[in-house]
Amino acid sequence: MNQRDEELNELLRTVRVPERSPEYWAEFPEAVVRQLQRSAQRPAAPLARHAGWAWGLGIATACLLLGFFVGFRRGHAVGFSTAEVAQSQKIYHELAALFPDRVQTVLLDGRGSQLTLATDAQPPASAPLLVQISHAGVCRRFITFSGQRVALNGETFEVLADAQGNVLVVGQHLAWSSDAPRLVTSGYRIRATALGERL
Amino acid sequence: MADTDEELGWVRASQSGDPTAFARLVSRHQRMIHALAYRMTGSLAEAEDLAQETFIAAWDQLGGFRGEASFSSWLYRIALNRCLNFRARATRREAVHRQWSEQRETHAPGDAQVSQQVQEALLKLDPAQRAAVVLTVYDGLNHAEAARALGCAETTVSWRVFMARRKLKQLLAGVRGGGA
Repeated sequence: MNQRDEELNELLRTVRVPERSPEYWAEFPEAVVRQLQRSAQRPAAPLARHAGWAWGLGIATACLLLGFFVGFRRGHAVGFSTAEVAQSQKIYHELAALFPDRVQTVLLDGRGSQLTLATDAQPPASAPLLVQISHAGVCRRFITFSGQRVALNGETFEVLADAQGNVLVVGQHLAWSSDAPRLVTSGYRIRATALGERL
Repeated sequence: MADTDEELGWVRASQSGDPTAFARLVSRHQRMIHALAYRMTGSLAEAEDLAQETFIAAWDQLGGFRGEASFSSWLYRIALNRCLNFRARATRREAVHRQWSEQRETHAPGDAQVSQQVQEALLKLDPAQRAAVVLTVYDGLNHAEAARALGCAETTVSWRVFMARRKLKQLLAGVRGGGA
């Protein structure tokens, strides 16, 4: 390393990390634990992992069968295939891991996904919702949460979820519910479903 | 840093779901992670967020920690990946730059001003180049160790350090010891 590099290193080392108060350092671990408890996460212990996988696989299979059965009985009311839901869950899961409690809306289009993030972390108001709105030859699919707004052809729609797990889409010219999916007006086609509990 | 028996005990307890043991791990490593995040972002608020995200991700991934590397190295890599994703938050990064510029204009005499100019120059580097500088200059890793932490080839680290130095010398040309 030449002298000029050494001089540059010395200059770089003039940047000090600002010191924080002892109270901050005492409080920080507790804040992390509180956050963990809020998100109710628990790591899988190495020895318990295989058992966890087996249970997970069994439960997932049962859920898939149940979902298929319910979807069939409801005449595909929510309108998404199992593969579409699974793909959306995977996308959401990956983004939520990268930006915990910050994902507001993910616009899914053929080229990939566009992400809208909240400035500050805030637990979402509902389970993630998969919503597709089509009108005048334009179709957009979103992963979003209750209370968020999505847009199509310049019109804004508010997405809501009720306590029964129904998804509502409310726009200037329509009010649609997954509970009565065929009641669509003004040439709009809407499909929506909850993507399960917080993934 | 080699793991002590005490620390390994905390790791095992955390893997079994004990938050108290995990809080002890956080307490032991929080300064290292905050310092890394601060150097990568130039923002105390961002550093705090990133440090918290790092520890939460670590908790989530603890099941996969086998002790092949030291716990601190493993944690450091998680933090580094989080910091490199900082680039996705362009809006917030612009706000940090603005904040730095305003601070520099309003109250920054002498050494403090130099320090701020250096930090501002660091923030203008590509995040991967900045990470290479942080690891080699501030944390004292050699290029091979930095390559392991970054998950890339040693020659890549050397190239990033070279490019970063070249840009820093340009950016800091008028500053004491800034080269050129």
